[in-house]
Amino acid sequence: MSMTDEQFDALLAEARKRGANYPHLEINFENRLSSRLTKKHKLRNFFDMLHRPALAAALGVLIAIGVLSFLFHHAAESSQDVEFYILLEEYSEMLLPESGDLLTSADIWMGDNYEWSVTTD
Amino acid sequence: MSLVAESHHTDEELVRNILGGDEQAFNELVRRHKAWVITKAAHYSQNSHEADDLAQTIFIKAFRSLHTFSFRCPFRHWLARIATNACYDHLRKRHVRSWLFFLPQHSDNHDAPHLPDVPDTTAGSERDSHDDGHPLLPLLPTAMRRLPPRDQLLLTLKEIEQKSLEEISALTGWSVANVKVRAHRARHRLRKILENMSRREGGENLI
Repeated sequence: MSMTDEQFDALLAEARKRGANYPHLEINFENRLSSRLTKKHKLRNFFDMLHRPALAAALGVLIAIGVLSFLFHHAAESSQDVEFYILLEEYSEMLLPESGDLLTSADIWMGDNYEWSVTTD
Repeated sequence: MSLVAESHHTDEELVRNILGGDEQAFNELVRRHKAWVITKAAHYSQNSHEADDLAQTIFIKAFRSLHTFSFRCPFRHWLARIATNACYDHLRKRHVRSWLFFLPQHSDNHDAPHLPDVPDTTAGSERDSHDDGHPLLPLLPTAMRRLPPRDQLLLTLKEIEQKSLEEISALTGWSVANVKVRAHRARHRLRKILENMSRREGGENLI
């Protein structure tokens, strides 16, 4: 069963009738409004104190610091990688056995990564 | 800000005084308009404290925006528009909060936006008939809160405050045709919600 238009209108009419009888609480309304206005004034004054150009400049500096630190970090990582590969290459060259040399433990370890045909006596 | 003696200035003259630096004149504007502002705020609130806060927010917004008042329309109309926007913002915030914090869409005390939780000593006979009212009346606030904020605003303006389509259009800034269509759909949605709720709560007897 659905509600008829008349029933729905009667319900809204009753809600309207009750809505018109709101008891006005006027206790300290002005005082509290005044304190809220003052608080907002204080807050606004605080933000007014921080001039907008100053805020923009501070924000710009923070962004610049972020970008620069990212770039430096990235560059440092890259240089570290290069240094590491150079070192690795030098190290591997140093360990690569000349023909006829005995294999060291390092050679055996490196042997997993490099192919050579060295036979030991 | 303290209470000042009644002034015989018009609202517009008071606004000029405030803009001229006499902020105390705002007290007189508050005194003149607070009755209907609080009543309007109560239509969009769940209890008297919320209504009180919303009414104050309306006055604070009005105070902040006084410099935009163009003196082309009565101050009351301008304030009504600010009040409507503030009430709409309030509904939207409450809607978002209810989603964000998983708050229930209903209150425990079935306290209608237009039925504040304070004892009414001024209209005793009306309040005494609370229990004998329409059986679906206690469900109405919960049903209203299940609607989107826009629908709540339109239904309250149209059905509770009995504004015409043109007035709603002027208050909200939406076109008359838009208001008409939206209000019709909102009414239909509210009816459906109420029917479903009444079925769940008390069978067919409530309707």
